[in-house]
Amino acid sequence: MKKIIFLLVFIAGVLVFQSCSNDKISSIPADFATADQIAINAANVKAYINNLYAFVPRGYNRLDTDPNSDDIATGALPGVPGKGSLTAMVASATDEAVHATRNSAAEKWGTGNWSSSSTNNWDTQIKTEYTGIRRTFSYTEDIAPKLPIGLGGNEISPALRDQYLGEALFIRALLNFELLKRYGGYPIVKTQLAADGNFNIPRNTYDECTKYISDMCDQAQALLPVVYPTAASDFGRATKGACMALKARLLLYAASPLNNPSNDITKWQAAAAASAAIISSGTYSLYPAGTAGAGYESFFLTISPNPELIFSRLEPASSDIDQMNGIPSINLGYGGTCPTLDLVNDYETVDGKPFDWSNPAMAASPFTNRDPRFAKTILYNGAVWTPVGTPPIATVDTYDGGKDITNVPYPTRTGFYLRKFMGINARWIAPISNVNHSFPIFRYAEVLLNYAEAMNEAYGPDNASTFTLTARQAIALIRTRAGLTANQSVTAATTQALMRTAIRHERRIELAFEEHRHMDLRRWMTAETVLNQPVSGLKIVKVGSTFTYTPQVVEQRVFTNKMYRYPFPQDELSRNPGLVQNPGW
Amino acid sequence: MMRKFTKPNLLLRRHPQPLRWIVVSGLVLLLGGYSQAQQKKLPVKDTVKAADSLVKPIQLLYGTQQKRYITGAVSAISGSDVSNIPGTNRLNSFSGRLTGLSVTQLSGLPSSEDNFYQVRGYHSFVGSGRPVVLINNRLDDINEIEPNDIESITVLKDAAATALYGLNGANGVILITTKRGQTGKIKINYNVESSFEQPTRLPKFLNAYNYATLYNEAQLNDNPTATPKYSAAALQAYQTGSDPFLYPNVNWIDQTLKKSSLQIRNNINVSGGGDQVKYYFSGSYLTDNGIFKVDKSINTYNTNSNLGVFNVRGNVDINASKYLVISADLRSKRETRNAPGANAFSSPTYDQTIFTAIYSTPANAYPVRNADGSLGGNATYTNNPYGILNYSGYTNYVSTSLTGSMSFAYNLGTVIKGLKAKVDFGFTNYDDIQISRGKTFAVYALNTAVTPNTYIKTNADGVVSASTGGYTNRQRIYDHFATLNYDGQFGDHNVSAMAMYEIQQYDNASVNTVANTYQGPKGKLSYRFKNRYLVDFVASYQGSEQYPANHRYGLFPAVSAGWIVSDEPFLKGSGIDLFKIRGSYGKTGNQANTYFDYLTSYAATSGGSLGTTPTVQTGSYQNQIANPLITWESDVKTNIGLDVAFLHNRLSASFDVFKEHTTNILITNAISVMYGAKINTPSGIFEDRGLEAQAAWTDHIGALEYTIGGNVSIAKNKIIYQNEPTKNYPWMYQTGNPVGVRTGYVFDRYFTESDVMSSLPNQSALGSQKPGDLKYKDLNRDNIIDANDIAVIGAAKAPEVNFGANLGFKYQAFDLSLYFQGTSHGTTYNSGATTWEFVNAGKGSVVEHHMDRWTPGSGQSTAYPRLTLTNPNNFVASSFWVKDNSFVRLKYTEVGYTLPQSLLKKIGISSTRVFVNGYNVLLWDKVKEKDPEANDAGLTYPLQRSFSIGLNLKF
Repeated sequence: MKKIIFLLVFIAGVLVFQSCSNDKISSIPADFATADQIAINAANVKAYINNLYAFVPRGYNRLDTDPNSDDIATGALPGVPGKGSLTAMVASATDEAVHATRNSAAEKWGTGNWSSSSTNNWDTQIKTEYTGIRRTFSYTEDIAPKLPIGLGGNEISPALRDQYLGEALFIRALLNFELLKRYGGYPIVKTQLAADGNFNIPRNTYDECTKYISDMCDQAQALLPVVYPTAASDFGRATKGACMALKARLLLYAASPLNNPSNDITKWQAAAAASAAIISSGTYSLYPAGTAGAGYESFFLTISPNPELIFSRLEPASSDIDQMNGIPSINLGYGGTCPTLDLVNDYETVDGKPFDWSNPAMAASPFTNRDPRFAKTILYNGAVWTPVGTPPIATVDTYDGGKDITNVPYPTRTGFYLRKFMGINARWIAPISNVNHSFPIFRYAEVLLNYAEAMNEAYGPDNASTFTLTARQAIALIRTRAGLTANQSVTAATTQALMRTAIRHERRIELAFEEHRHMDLRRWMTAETVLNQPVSGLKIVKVGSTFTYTPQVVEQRVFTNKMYRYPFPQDELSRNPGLVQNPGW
Repeated sequence: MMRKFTKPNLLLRRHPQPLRWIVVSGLVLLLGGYSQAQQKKLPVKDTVKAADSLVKPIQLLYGTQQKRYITGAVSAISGSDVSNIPGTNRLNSFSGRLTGLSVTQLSGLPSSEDNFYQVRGYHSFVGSGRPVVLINNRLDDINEIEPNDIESITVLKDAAATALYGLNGANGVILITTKRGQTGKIKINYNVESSFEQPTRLPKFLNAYNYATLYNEAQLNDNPTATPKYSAAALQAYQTGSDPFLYPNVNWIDQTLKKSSLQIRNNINVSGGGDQVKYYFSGSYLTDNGIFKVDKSINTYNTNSNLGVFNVRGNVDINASKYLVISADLRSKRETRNAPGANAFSSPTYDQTIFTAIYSTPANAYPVRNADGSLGGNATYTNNPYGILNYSGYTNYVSTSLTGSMSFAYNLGTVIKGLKAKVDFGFTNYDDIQISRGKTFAVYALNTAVTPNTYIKTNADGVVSASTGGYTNRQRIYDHFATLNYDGQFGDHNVSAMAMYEIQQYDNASVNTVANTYQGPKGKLSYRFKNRYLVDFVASYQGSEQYPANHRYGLFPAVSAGWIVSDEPFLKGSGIDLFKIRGSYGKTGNQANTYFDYLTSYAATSGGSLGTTPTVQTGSYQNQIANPLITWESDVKTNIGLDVAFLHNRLSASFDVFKEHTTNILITNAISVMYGAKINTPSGIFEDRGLEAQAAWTDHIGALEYTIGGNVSIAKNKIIYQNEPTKNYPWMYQTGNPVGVRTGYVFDRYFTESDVMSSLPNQSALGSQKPGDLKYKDLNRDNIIDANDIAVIGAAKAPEVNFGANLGFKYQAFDLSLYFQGTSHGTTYNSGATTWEFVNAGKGSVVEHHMDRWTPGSGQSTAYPRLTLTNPNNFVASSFWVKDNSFVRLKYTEVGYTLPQSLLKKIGISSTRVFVNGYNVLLWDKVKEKDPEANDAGLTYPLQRSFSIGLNLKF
């Protein structure tokens, strides 16, 4: 009996230990997929590539009061800036504009109120960029090697494999460039870092970064198509042209004074060649001119067909940007980006002469007979602007007491509102009416400007070298499309230095509000002058039927030398001991 | 061994030898160490058999130990100490009684009586810090236990005591052990208790006249040119109550809450045993009829917060042979709850809905019923609280649980002397289901604009919504272990060892996750030399599938030692009864909230927009990247303690100081952004330190025996590193502070006329300001009040200091005990309808303290800012609303009378004790609006004070 009982106890004990030895704790739920499971499904692979396009930089009102809105906390997508009266465009931190609602991130940035604190850098984007870069590596390292290549159902054809790889490389190059332009030489990450690995990654030099990105552009270009035959669904994917345009801008930046202190002419030559390659490819042309700058305006509201558009951040039709920069008296717009008088003054007259307030004829009627791009970029007092839902003929009244500045919630601070990008058919209160906006990342006009700038520096204003256009001719193309009746100021630019001024002027006008200015002023090293002086608006008083115009300072601006480069986040310095902060921060 | 003496102290003091004894409930008990021969020599005449529970060794994890030889930090009480305390959540009755355990009761909702409880405070800045609750060494829910079944409660605090709980030991362990049968004649206990409950505190809302007066004032404060809402005639009508329908003045609390509710507890237990079988059976039933006034003539169904709890338990031990003991325990509970309204037990629970309605409805909003008998209400105020109670349908909630366990203990003494083996299997199931039958009701407002007057109807009557299982909760636990125990004595050497293997699985079928399993070996080795040098080694090696294969198991070791100095020869006869120094050091773990973080997964998301008509594309990304770093929190605990007893044990005391250092706390994105993905890294660091002291004095004055005791526990924590982003100013950091501190603006003073004129510092981001509004400090002196001026403004809700004190008296057949409990260094945040005026855009009510508001000329001395209907300025998080919630309560008092035995013996009753008790009797504190322990917003079922009469019968 005793033995039986002992046996029973023994058996019970064995049972317990057997249940343990089954190793209950090695069970893994099947919902945790590996890269293999993604790779075998063509739709999953495509979705993985599609997600990379979420990392293409935004342009329209993207600065909100939370500088960490680029924080990918949920892991899914880069943060979307809050939509509100405080959400500003980068232009409002430059001499292009001020933001209507006070205390915006743009105002803080423009007035020098930014630092290396992660809560105090209004345009850091560093987390978005490195996150996007990691995802491109996760594609190329984990998924791409496992693709089922073939022509059968649910297989991926060799052409598609190449296209996906090219897209991933292009996005990677683009995000690397976004880091480079902000920080200068940055730590290049060339693989998926391990969490328990080494974060002692030093910064690469500016030239190393340029070479790295440039080579990547070449690789991607070789893999990508010129255009997508299935444009209806694939328009917006990276193309050969996008890679070439990125490389052209990359090399232009590398040749610019900030990054080329010894003024190595070969860098300018390389930049010129990169732009020339796009011009000679014949794929792109300027959006057809219309009367009075109509072509210039249409470009920004036309997604396809658009021969000038090389690559853009596409968004579904929307009226967010129209609302955030809309005139407050119309459908309760937020005012938003208010162009400065400084920018307004830079628009020439239609016959190509500089505008001058001391010229009585010009001062009496300052907004007529200007470069046609002026009226297509800026809403001024007396401009006709009739969005849907307003009375048929509406003029913009920004004189004292005028309906668009007095007793409205978000009045302009300069006397001007933004017109560029604004869809006249947009309406954000019921009945909602959305319009297409695509923020241009690369467009042919910029390529021509890049080309002109590089050619002038490398060869002078009138030497086409081995290419088809001279600097002067490239600029003339742009001015002609804009509808200027004469090229006086360009014609007068007889020397390389005068031509440089003319090209920079042209860049300011043509590319206004497209997020070029804050980087152009830095790479030209003129920001310490231009961005360190107050910006002005216009006080307009109506007496009888005549207006008097008085310039007034609307915002003090601060730019110190250290601001040529962004500071790395302070927290990052302790996490990556190899990182050296930019000087002055 | 133990004895009971009628006049013990004198006898004992006269005795030539120092005796060890304790006094519990007036009984003096001799403790251990005397041979039969010595006992016979003791000059004691009147010895009876006392309850053996009182000298039982202290229950520790998977075993017991005499308190004298314990080297870790534990505190313990007997179940009988708290069994007469009313209430449904047993944890609340432990408040202030066990050093190191803090229990803060947040709500009085019967059955839940929600609380937070901690052993030695927080151990990490992540999670609630709740200790593990074990019933008979098995994971279980504290609410499942019947109080009369509790034999003992032990709180295990330091590494020596908790290292056996490995991956879940860091937060401490509350170990509850149930009663078992003892050899002897059958014993039957019957306990019954009726408790009358009422809220400890309710907000005091103002009547209609005062409401209307203050409303007019607030209106004018906001807009001096406004036309006051209430005319002089209306004010007069409110004051005189001339027309209760047109000018109602309703005290909503009186209309909806009973003066008192009734809770009845019954328990019968039967125990006994012979050579073959020992048994303990218990059955109990508890009802609580809830606080709400319900008109039973309206509904055939019961909409009150009725609660009925059945609990049965059987613990049986069978001596299957000379060497084998088979034990089988079975417990089951069935709980039914009723409540008004649909889905009443889903979040937010029904009490929050109802109290929000009661507390947010001004006295003059509408009459309970109109003149025609219809329910009052209008488009602004649709939530007639009386309507909710009687016309909104009901929810029935049934919760059942079942625990069964079986063990086989085999004495292997024939193989090796002192060796025992035991295997133990157990399963627990919980199953809760909610059956809801909601109904809408219409409210009517008198329309005096037309003649004859009509009623305007708002909402629809009688739209029924039915759902079953609107809330279901199914959880399963299994817990098996096999143990080998060895005890041996070799001269002066005493060795005991324990080795075991345990596997536990916790499966919450209510959420879509796979079960969580823990398994691994554990062991303990104790060595004692000359019974005064003590050393213990404890370790568990435990694994969980939440960690990668090469890092799945963690070793949690602890070492502890003690020295009973008073037993050294050089101290013999010194009058020191006990002087023991002990210390422990070891590591415990805490499995943080991770779910297969070491694996990779992909998820769908949206991609970029593509196409000539741009369309958001389907995207996919790696939503979790295999995290090789994932691990448990590691808590290294150090404890030094001292146990003393003097004056023939009349004075006893213990002291402990401890320090805990927790590392490997998972925090998000604490590594370089260049990693490029969200990842949790085990890099958080936390510290917790504190001290505990308890002392007791027991003596008698003539026939009056008395005991007086007290304890205090202090636990203060600090976040050392939590990856807080760089802030602009030092005061903006939470790092360096305790977890859960309050943050907000720092109140400076009320705005004066000149403050408003100067408009600097600019506070306009928070609203507009007028004299009497709260003015906040401009900490960075930039003349703008903004996020840069938000600082730490108060301690966390969880108090850092907890204390208790008890007084016990016994005089002949009478006994009296008083328990005080209190806390300090914690805060409550006053907000919402119980504190603020006209909450919810002017719709809310006003309370008594609004009478002492700021008015022009009243200066800075008033207790409350100017009244406003809508201005947000005063209601942003600020130090003005943080209140010290320190308090002292008379937590429990009991007066008992034990009837003379001679009277009852004839009818078979061996003992009868009648008692009255009071729970949460008196309160001293600084918070006025609500109970200081209650939830910050104070919108939950109030904490209850209760007075009970009861009877303990023993057959």
